[in-house]
Amino acid sequence: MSVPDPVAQQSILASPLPTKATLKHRRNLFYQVIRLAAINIKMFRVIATGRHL
Amino acid sequence: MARLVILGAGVAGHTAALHARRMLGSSDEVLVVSPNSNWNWIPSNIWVGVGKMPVEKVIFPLAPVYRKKKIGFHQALALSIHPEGGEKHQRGYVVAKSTQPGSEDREEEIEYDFLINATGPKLNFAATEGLGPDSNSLSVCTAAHATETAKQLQAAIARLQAGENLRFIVGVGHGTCTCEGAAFEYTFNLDFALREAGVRDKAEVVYLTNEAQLGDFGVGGLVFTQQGYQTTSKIWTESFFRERDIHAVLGAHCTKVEPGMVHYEQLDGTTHDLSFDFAMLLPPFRGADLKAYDREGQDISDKIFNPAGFLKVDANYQAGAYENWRAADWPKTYQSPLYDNLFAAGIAFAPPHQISQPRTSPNGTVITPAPPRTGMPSGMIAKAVVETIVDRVKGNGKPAHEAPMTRIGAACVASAGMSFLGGSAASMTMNPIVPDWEAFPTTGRDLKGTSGEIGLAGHWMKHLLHVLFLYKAKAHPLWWVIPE
Repeated sequence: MSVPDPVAQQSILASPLPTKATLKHRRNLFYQVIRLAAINIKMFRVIATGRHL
Repeated sequence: MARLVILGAGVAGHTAALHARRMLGSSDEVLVVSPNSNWNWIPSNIWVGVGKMPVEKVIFPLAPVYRKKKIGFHQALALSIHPEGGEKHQRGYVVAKSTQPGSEDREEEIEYDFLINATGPKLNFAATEGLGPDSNSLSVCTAAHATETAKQLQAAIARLQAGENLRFIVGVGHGTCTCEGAAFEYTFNLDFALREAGVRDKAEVVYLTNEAQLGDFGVGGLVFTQQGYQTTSKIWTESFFRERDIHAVLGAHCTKVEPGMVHYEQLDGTTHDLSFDFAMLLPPFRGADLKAYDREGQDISDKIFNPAGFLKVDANYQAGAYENWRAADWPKTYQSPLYDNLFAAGIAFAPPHQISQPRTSPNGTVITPAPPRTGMPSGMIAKAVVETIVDRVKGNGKPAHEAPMTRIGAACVASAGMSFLGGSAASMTMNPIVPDWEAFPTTGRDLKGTSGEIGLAGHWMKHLLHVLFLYKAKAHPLWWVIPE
């Protein structure tokens, strides 16, 4: 299939493709509950360290 | 007794109004002037635009909240600022035209002791011929736009189900647009909706952007660590595009949108036409159409606002070429250099320059994302401005509070599909928002505060933010505990 921007497409196709295991991890409920906590911690750290003066 | 007038009731204006009411004394007055009767949690417009969320879930009427909190509310469009007062006014005042049904076009003059311009953007669809929901493309910038876009999407899905092959273009409609993150979100939510409908194989999805490379997001891209390596938001985003089979057109400036056809120029100067069956293209932003006059009635708009209509604040607007840009160029207090009781918050302040490296095509067309300053920074800036004003009202002589985008961080959760068990989102943090190459010479940002990950947890986070920010905006008990 022709694509509208072949240069952009070439770069996209050169990027890493996630494995089935990675895709599974991204939807695994147990693992994602842990990641939710981790994301919250990261966000609170950004809020805390970047607090205005 | 002091009167604080706030123009606009979006994230910045509404945040400012609630904090000001909480921090100021009962004898002080807080007045909001906004042409809109509803508050809109704009980040969730993406879900409205793919038909996943009813519009009622992203808006609520402002008047009852302001009544409850004893905040004055004028449903009106601000037309002009008179910071030096006038013949009939000793204090500065604002002229506003009512937008309330029944009293449309009635003009009023509202005096102030302190003024916060938080008008947000004017959606400048006129910058590109044929752009916008009144012409040939769709938008999710307002709740009404998103509702119409969802209807058009359902019609397109019906055509796909009938066996047609269609091309969907999602992106930005001008070379100087901002909010690439919103376009990114809509692209992936569209992809998700098409997969759910079982018609993804019939659709080509194209992301058309002014970014020179994917993952720029108007902040010059990110570097973060992942599994023991430093990686870039470019590789990370490209990988996501590859996984979902989404095509991209990079470094593009739309020159015209016709029914079923978009014309654009790319950074290499070449021009192209691309047909479409569905196009959601975000507009560039301008400042609100506000004028400013001195005491004698002379137009001083060009002294107070930049050419795009954004309020000039304590930034360095003379930085010049990209090589000379410094973190110190960015404003800290958001106070007008001409009037110390005039401030801007959110999109309304004039940034000193872009964050992404500026680029121009050989034809002289500027194709560079404008700096994003929505969401979290909007709220943080608004709160800092209010704290400065509260200090001055109380006369405690403290220096102005600061919230420079070179010191504050931001969290951005970009939805990539709305489903409690099958959805996903890209969760990003960056600290600071504007890279500071002197403080962080290697990557421009603190690697400990800069991150990116994709997964279902991101969707839960995005939904949690939706619930929390609506709770906060409705000023329910302990609303102020929720951070900006």
